[in-house]
Amino acid sequence: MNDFTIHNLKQIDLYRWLLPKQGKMRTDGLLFLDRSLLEHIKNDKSITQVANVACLPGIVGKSLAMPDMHQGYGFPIGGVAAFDPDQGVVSPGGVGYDINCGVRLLRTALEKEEIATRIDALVNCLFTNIPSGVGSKQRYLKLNKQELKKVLETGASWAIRNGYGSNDDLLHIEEGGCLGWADPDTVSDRALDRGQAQLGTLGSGNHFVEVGFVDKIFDDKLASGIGLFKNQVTIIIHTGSRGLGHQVCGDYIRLMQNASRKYGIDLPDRELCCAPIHSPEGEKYLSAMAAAANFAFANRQFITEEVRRTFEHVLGRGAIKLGLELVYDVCHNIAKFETHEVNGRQQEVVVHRKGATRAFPAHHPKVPDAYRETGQPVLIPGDMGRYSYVLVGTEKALQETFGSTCHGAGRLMSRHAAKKIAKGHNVTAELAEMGVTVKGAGRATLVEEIPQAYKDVEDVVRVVHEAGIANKVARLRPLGVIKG
Amino acid sequence: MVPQLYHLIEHTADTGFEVRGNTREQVFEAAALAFFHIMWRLGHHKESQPEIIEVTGSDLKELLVNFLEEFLYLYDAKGFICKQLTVQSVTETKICAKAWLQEFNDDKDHELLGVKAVTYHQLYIGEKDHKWLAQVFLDI
Repeated sequence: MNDFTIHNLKQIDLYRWLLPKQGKMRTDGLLFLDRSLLEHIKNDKSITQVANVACLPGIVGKSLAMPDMHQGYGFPIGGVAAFDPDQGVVSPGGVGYDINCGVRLLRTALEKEEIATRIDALVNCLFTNIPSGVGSKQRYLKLNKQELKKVLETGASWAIRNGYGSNDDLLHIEEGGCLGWADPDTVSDRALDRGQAQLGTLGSGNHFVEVGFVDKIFDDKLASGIGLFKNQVTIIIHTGSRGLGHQVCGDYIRLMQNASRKYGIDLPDRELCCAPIHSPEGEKYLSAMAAAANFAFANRQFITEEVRRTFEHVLGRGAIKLGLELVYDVCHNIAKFETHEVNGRQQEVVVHRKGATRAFPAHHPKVPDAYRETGQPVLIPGDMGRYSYVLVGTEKALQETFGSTCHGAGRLMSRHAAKKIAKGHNVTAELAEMGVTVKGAGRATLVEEIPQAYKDVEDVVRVVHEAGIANKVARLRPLGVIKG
Repeated sequence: MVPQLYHLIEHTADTGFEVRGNTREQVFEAAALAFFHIMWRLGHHKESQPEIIEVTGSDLKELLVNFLEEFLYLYDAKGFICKQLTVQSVTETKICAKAWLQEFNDDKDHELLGVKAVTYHQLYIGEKDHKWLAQVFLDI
């Protein structure tokens, strides 16, 4: 298929652009962008990737792209697409290599002044307690395969049963921290090998733990509804399923290459290899993907408890007294069975979100009781120097995007360009001047992740808010960050 | 002599590389060496015995992905890095190589980039004018 460019787009309103169905596309594409964000993607292949996704069999509704969209592998990052379970396909490329990469937000009863003199100690201690960096491993916790399979089957609740957190946490995680259709026996030995010593580790790249505070409230009622107040200390954890998830994706891309041929699916891009949802290959992938997703839920749960213990240790108070509670945990890279309204009737579909966040509105049955009146909290991390956002899902998201919204800022510069810009700069010292204590496993990661390398997340959030596919609640600023 | 140089290809969120070789074996070897160079900076290690690495795939592209993924697996799951490599033979569906593996040593070896996976994105391997060329993108 030919490449698609911005010239193929038709502007619908300030924030919506239609990519009309053409060629082998089975449906339209719909992109949520403003003009300035459009500029960022005009030279990459992400518009073509939206069109490629629209070519896949059984796609329901439009091939969607969120405002942080950019070129990915197979699907664009920021891509959302739903498929009919009977006619449609599931594609590992629609989920990505880091299965259930996601974010969770913790709140505290503390105000930022209370930790002002302790932030360096907190960051140092977090860095010691949470293995970070490329190939990070647990020194003392290597699960045997039998136990690891229990993690894959039960997700966050495995961590809680083993003393990492409380049952209350489970109420504040997407899908309760466990995808029930996971089958550990569909996960290869190699994937298990990679996961054995990686539970509770951060990994590298853009993964982080950030201690910050609420610096701006946009909606008082929503903020108090999800337990946030001005100057409150918060913690964000961003990581996924580590090597185990990467291996599962790689294994199933291999399997799906053959499956696509077997089922006669015409692939516009090899990374979009896929199989019918109810084929043996499709079902096997969904079971393995769910198992890897559960590993990621357990991973973030494990790290949450390390954060609690670190705060207790450094501040000399118990976690309950510190009010260290989980606000919510969302998945960024996932495919899930969900019920949505399609052509006026409720239908089960498999929603792929690749670099996109579920954003269900108030009163949706999947939104926990605590957020029944506010809508599901959505956490949008920015770069390590600026800010992150807390949003809530909306009815409009449910109508237009299968209840999905953006997931982050997205890179502006290549890693190489970032390194070039950072040459001669002391990134740690400059961030300290901005009021952010940073500790990273390697200088290379820190340099590649400098704030200038990212788009301003505010630009992305403004589009989803104005377009109505999420509502702004609060903005968080970082005080201390540990990077992988 | 295997050309060990590679060309780094970087877009906003992508990292990839391009390698050349006079033969199919050389281009696979060059791809692996480029991959190692992007991932690690290695210190001095004592001599070790080589191990035979055999990898299969349904075509050359899959073979290349599977070959590089093999080293990612050895590193991520077992903690092995590869100091030296000789590709002995490559058919359409099978590669056989000798690899000198060592345990990663925190004191002298450095990890440069966290690679999640080797992808099929814009993957290319082929022969043009009696020269072999390969292009690989990595998920970071």
